[in-house]
Amino acid sequence: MTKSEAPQGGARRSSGRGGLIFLGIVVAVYAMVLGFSPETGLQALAFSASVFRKLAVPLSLVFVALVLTNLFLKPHDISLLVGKDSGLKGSLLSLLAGVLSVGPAYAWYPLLGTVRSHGGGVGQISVFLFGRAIKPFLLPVMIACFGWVFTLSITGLVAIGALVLGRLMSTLQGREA
Amino acid sequence: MLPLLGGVALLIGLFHTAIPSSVLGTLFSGDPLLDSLTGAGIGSILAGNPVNSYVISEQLLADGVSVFAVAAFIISWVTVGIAQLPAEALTLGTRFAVLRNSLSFLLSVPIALLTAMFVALSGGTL
Repeated sequence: MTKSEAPQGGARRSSGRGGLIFLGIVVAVYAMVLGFSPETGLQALAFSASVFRKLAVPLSLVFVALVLTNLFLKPHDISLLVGKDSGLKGSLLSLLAGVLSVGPAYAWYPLLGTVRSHGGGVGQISVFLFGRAIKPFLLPVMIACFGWVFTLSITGLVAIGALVLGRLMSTLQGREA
Repeated sequence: MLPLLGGVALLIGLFHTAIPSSVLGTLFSGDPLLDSLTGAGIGSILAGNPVNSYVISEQLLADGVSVFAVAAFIISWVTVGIAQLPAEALTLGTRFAVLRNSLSFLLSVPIALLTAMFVALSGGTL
């Protein structure tokens, strides 16, 4: 397995330094944008600030879930629930978790990294991330905007698509994950 | 993890400002497959609360953009994340992140086509 493929250990160990490098690159891009077009740069900063504010609650929930996962769920439990051999039951559980999850996807990456390092399957994690496109609390808004048929069709198809993606990821990533 | 999330949030702000929703409608041609791919592409770049994608999509439909494009746009808005890709790669592995985002992008197209087909079968306009 190459370093880039390392699912947990290597990737997670390097995420601290990698995160700082990534932030440094983005800050450098901002410096250039602010230099060339200060108005655009300031608008982007204002929008980012609103993203930060919205992140606070979901991120707090995720960190609580992270602590609880590490405290109460042993790797063996996670393997049984959403491990690579958990089958359709594990995928459906991941889909339900994805549907009920709140906040942006990247707020969930630390928890998903932990789940993966504890034996969670790549297919199940993919199902979770794709299933997030179904937002039960937003269904009334979607119905109001696009109608019943569109909403029911896209919701059902996304659920099926999530399971298909999970299967594809398990197959293509191999069973080493 | 916080520097990573900070970088993602800053990048989303930059994308959001660089691509105003008013210019999105001009990017569609009317071809179902091409529009689905374009919708999925734009949804992959933009990010934020899904409600924003509904509001933008409603406006796109009002401007004459097809259901194919709008469905692909809504799906990829949540399931594909160009701005989040570095963060996903660092926490879950580069191969995983690239493969998952690529497959999610590709899956959004048939889902959009089928969604539009169901809308058409129910008597709706595409």
